[in-house]
Amino acid sequence: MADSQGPRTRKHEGIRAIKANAVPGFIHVHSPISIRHSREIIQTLLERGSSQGSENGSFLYVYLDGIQCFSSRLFYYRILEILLNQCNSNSEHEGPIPLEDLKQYTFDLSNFIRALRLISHKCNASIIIVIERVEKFKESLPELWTPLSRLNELARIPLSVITISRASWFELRPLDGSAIDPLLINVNPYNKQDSQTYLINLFPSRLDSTLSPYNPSFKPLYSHFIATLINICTVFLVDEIELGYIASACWPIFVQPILNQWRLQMEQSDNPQLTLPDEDARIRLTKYFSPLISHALEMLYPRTQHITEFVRENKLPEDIYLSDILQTSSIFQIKNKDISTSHSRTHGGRDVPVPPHIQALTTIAKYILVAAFLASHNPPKSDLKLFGRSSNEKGRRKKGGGTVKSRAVSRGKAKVPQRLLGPITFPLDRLVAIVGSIMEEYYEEQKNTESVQSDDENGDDDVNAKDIEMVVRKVQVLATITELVNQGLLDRIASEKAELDTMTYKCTINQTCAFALARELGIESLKDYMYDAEE
Amino acid sequence: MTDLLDQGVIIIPYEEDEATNPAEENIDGPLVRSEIDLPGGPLFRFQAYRQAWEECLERTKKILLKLQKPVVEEVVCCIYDPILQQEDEFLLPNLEMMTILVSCPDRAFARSSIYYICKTLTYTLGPEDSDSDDHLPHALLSQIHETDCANLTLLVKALITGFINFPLHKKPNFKYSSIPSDMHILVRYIEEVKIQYGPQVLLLVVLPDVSLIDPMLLGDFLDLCYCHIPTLPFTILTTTSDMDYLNRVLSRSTLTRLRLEKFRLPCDRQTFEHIVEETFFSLEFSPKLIIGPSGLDMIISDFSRNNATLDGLLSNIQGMSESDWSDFSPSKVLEKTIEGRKLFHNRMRHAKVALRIWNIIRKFCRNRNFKFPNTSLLEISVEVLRMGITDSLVNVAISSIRSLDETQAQALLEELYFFVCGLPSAVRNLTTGLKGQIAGTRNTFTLDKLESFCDFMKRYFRSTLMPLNDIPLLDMWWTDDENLPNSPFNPNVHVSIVTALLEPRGYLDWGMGMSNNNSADACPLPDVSIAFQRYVDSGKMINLYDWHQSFSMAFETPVDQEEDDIMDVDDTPTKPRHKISSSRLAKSNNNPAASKTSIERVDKRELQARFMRTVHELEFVGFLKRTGRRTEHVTKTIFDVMD
Repeated sequence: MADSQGPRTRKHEGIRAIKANAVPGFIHVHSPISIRHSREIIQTLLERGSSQGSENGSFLYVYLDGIQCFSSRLFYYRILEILLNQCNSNSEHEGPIPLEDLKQYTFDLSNFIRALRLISHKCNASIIIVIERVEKFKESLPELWTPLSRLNELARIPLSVITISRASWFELRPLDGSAIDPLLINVNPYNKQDSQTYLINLFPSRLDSTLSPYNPSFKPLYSHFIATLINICTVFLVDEIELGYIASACWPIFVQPILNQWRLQMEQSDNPQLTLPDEDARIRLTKYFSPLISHALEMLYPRTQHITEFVRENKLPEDIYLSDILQTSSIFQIKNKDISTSHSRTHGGRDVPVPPHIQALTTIAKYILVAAFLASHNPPKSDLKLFGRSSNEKGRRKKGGGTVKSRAVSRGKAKVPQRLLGPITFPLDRLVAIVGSIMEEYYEEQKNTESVQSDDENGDDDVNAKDIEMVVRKVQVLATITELVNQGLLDRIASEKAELDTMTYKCTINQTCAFALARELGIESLKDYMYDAEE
Repeated sequence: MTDLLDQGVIIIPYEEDEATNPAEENIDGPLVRSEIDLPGGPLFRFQAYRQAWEECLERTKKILLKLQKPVVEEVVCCIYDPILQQEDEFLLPNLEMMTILVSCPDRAFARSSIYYICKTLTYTLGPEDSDSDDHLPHALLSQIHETDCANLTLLVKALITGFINFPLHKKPNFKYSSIPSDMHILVRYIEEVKIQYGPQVLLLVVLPDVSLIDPMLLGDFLDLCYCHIPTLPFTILTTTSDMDYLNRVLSRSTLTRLRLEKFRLPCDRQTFEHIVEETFFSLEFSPKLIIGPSGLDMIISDFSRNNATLDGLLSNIQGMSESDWSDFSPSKVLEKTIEGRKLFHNRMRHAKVALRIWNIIRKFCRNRNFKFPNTSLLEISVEVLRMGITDSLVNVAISSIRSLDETQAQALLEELYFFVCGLPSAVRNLTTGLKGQIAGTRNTFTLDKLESFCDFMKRYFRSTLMPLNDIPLLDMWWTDDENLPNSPFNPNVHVSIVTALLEPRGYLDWGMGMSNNNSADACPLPDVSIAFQRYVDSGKMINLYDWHQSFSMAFETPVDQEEDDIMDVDDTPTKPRHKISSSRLAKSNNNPAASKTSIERVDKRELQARFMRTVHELEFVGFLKRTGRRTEHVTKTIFDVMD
């Protein structure tokens, strides 16, 4: 089965092998891009085989999704129930086990195998169990993964297990080598030509009304459209299903000028001449819409937008006709371009806006996020240097302890800066202390200014520090931290016992976001508070 | 009352015997000067307050519903949309499961909109009402709670039982023996339902806030639901604070199976201002109680700084309304009260209309890029309530009207006229003069007339937007106090615990209930307080034995000598120190007279037991930490105890 033939032919061969020879106990089908075609082919073959009977006599089959087998009892029950139902419908007389008693065969593996034997002997048929997305099965029922691969040996009946997955066998096999190697079928992904044929064949053959985008007379135009789409998109994706999704979003917009033109003609005359655009017009139309296709790829592939939303947003107005497009030299203008750019990831950009859900947070929450960012990216030992201030030193603390480079040279050993290593964990106390320290400097409460005016003998800083101490220890601050954990902006590192006095967190916002938040809070330079800021 | 609020945490004392203490007596506490009050005065006031607050709450709830309504309607449309439009215009490569995400920064608000949606669905289209709406599918609901989201088995079980227990008008007779988390139970059940109700059935799964579910579990659950489409036509309905949350946490293969529709509920500064404006400065609704400027200021700052949720806003409004209620006495001059109330409400109505007119002028000018301060209606209202309208604000408005050209002035007059004509009947008769002036200027408009109109407006603003301070008994109709407690809903627990331990008399009932017959000194302090006072005075580390000695002395010596016996501080456990403490220990053992006196008052072993309990209590609260180096040493966790 190593010949370089098309995926379909090779699968046919594989299945034929199953039917002709003594059944191989375990087959693994690996289709890396999408398992959809493997699923479709195997399902049709099984259906046809079970109704007609194969060369080796009849067989019963079960087709399951890996996600459905989330408990072992459910897995046994599902298989046995389906087999029994098939068994009952095939033969006139009663099956080997009444459905009501099925539960007692689902307690463990040996009972399950006993039931399989009973069914197989009674119906005189072999059994095929197909499990797609088997990686999920392996995750949820790891203890059954080896027995499943050797089910043939254990049951000693004609039985074969077929697994379908996007993962290869070498990623899935048990590490202790307890499973036997399966018969491997690797399915190559569609190449460009295959995808094109597949997508063109999707064009419905039903006869719709004249003004539908899927009017059969559009089929030649559709083939050209698909060719253009594939040329634009294959650089980024090869999955034909996704290509089909993008095509179905773009096609109604693409043919709309033609439909508008036709509608106009039908209104003007009783017997209009509805013709497709000629070669030249087609090229111009394609050129006009090429930005739309790349925009669709950008928005639809990560599902930032749904197809209906996309079409609603980019729909052409009713009064744009084919003739208008042929006359202009401009190309399709994408509306809401700013949305698309804000969604696409721009690294290192200075003016990237803070995501809206962070923007909507309260001032205290923003202080906590900035403090958490600092706590996650500074070593704890540097806190005193960065945030501490002595009583006689008024105003700002000393700035950071030199650049990474100078320290590295003096120690003779280079250290990777924390911002490249990712956030470190920090305890709650440290976070609260840093929040207090930043707020002391930047958080202004009207009440403070009043109390400072009335109470001139105390230094401003002392009054402020005391008030901040009151603010920082308030219930709402702690509640806000929990809320931020729930929103996923802070990560609670859960210990096993979930002890209250050892709560540790990690900050999940990135540097750009933290800097933007800091600017919003009036902290001109967050770098001053960072131990190894980027120079 | 204010004393209590200063403590941060309000303690409601536990009443053991409720039968002997009826509710009225509780309210009629020691807070009120009984000699000048009406009989049963506190209760009357409490009832009046309740009524005022309930009206206010009703109003706010209505505003909130109005805010939710457009989103709720869209969502309901969206739920029915794919079923009603059988002919799908798109050629989708695979089926998709409808997933609706309502996002709002205030998650409780989003949640409440979900209940609203469910109510709308079951009320108008549920199986009970099925005869009227035959063309719409029957919606079955399964509400999944957060506690069910521990693992997939529980989640699926909750989903299935939710649907099966959903009350139906004609409930199918259904028995099926299988494993409880088997989706095929639901398949069979829905088959039965379809026989009863026709083929169009909709299964709405209401998930809790998605950010509370483990993303892996959520992905698996959605995949599993998808496996059963279209036999089980699921629609997932859920909420979160972040609109792009699902795009971030779900795998791409799961995302491709969903038809993700996102809706956003507003909950920002504007929404908040809208709610407060519509409650306290609305033309149709006049609340019995107005929150004064400093109270409003506090609500605004609390919303933007600490707690941007609508629940927080409501609690704040309620707290504000309550705070000053107990301080006034209505018995003195009844006529003056009635007069004052009339005057107050009249002035408020005038002020509200004037503020709206001001707002129209502001919007008009800002839309045309005139220089105009960008203060919202609420901020201006707070200013006006505080000290009346300032000259600068009047001048800004008048000078911008003057600088308008002819067409612009006409447009402005048109807007004003439209507004005045549309006023509700309650305030319309108050504004006849204003209406006449606007109509007169509008009908025969020349630029010369604009000048006299400006003068009129100047006088109008000055006369209507006066400070309210001169109204007699103003405190009855509005609650304002410069020394408002710093939000009773956001106390500093740490400070409260420390002050409670240092000064327990303020928190326990002694100060109030028994102050007449018992002096405070005669009541012994709780053990924890005694130990804590010594804790505060000690160094970084505490030797438990020394502490115990010092603790015991509190029981054997008179109160005035206590100061001298405060525990010997053990800063750094060095050897000489240790020697001293051990020598002291020897001394106390060798001194039979001292031990005799202690035995006289409290049994020594009992004292030790009480001390141990106290230490454990303090450790539980978090004031102590074991060092691990020496068994008899513990570390303090707080140092700068605030006075």
